[in-house]
Amino acid sequence: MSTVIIGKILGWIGFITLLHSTYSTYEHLSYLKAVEKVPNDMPIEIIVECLFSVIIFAVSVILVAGPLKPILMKNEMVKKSIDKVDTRPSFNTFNHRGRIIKSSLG
Amino acid sequence: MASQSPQNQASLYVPENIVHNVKTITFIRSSMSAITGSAAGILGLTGYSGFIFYALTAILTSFLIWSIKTNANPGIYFRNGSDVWTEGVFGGLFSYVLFWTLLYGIVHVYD
Repeated sequence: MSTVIIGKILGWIGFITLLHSTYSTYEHLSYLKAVEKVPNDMPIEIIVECLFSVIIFAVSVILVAGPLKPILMKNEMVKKSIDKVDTRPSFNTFNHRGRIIKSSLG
Repeated sequence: MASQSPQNQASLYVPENIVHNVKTITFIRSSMSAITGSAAGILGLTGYSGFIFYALTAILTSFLIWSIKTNANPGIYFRNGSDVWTEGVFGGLFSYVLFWTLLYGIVHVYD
């Protein structure tokens, strides 16, 4: 359960850094427009911040998503008791040990 | 295993767990598509470089799923082990393009 909480915190960090890099890019472009330069390359700080937020977000999404379940039936049957398996409606057992127990009592 | 009929093959697996795993992978893929699309728009990628960026981040996501979610052993959780690398990649491409164009428009086009 605690990995989900860590994942949510990391997700918020990633989201905030992504928003900040958006705003930084916007400010950078409006500065270039104000001093009448042609925008050519983005500053390396903004690129690094953006990629950092993507990596943080990837880890957070994977932590939030919860564990996968094994799909093999034999791994699943190990956890079930024989009584649980026998009491399904399409597999009623009429010829069971109750008859012998009843006759030995009576 | 190969000599068994298709019906016996189907009873080897738990259908609910297969559906649960595919749902989990799809959730991760669509979230990552939205976020990497936003990042591509912020970085101002255009043309082929945006699609190359998607390919790189899809490989990164697959590697993280493979290493963290399946502990480098995807055969336990998927019928084909390679499903962990391909599941939902092309579906995520469309949400990627949506967020890419949205953020590119907000940051680089309109001011």
